[in-house]
Amino acid sequence: MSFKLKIKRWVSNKAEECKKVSPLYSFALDRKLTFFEKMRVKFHLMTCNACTSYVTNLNFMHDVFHTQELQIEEEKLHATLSDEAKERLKNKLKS
Amino acid sequence: MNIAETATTKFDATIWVDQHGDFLFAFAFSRVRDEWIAEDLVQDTLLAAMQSRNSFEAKSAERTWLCGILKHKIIDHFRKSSREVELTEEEADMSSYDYMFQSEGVAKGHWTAESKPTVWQENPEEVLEHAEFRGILTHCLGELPERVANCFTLREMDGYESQEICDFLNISPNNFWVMMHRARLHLRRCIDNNWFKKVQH
Repeated sequence: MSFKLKIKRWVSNKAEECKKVSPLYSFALDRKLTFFEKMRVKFHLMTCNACTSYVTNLNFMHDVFHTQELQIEEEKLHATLSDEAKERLKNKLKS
Repeated sequence: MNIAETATTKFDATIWVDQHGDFLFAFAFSRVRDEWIAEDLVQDTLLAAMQSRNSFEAKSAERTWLCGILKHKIIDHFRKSSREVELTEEEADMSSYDYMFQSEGVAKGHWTAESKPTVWQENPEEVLEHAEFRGILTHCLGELPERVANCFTLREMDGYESQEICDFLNISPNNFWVMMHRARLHLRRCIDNNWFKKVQH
């Protein structure tokens, strides 16, 4: 199949299944997409609101985990050792 | 006995528990999501730190140094729980997510009405203020097979490169990408259902 024809087919077949394209949104966050993969994503997102939301949700999740990480660094701790746990640790270190 | 040795024997490591214990625990807990394992990891870290205290250079902050040791302990822990080379059936099985997409009709392969993503109108910093939301994150990660969750934390929290994580966990890049996709599909839906689709907070 010629290159032009492939492109035409993608454009006309705007309803490529979300299920088939969806792994690419995730892959893009962990590796470089190939040229054809990028094209598939681009054309699909042009017409699909649900997948566009999906991509923004993935970015949101990334931000949430990153922010949580920064909060730990800033000592905004949401999990702390109990007094008993501290005693246990101190005893271990003394022995 | 020389001066260095005297200093080591007199050093009281229990002070670390008060100064850095909570921080190290919060860090470990965010990765392993289990209080007991997190406490064990903190203990291993402090014991290892006592052993190698002489090699600690005051150039770096003590906490940074301890956290560096803890990070290694966490990876060791993941490595141990990831001994098998092959993906288990549960980890590799993408068909368990088929229910999120329509199986027939004109819209075959499109999101089902129930799983369809919508825009999340909240700000990550504000949403993390809610203890309930943080609980949902822990809960949703906990629903994933252990190795899938470990992949996700190493990537999204520690920011390791794909190749490094594949080496730690002894998996192929393809398996890694599939596991990440799986983790994200699940987490997105789980967070959506448990938080965003519920009444405004």
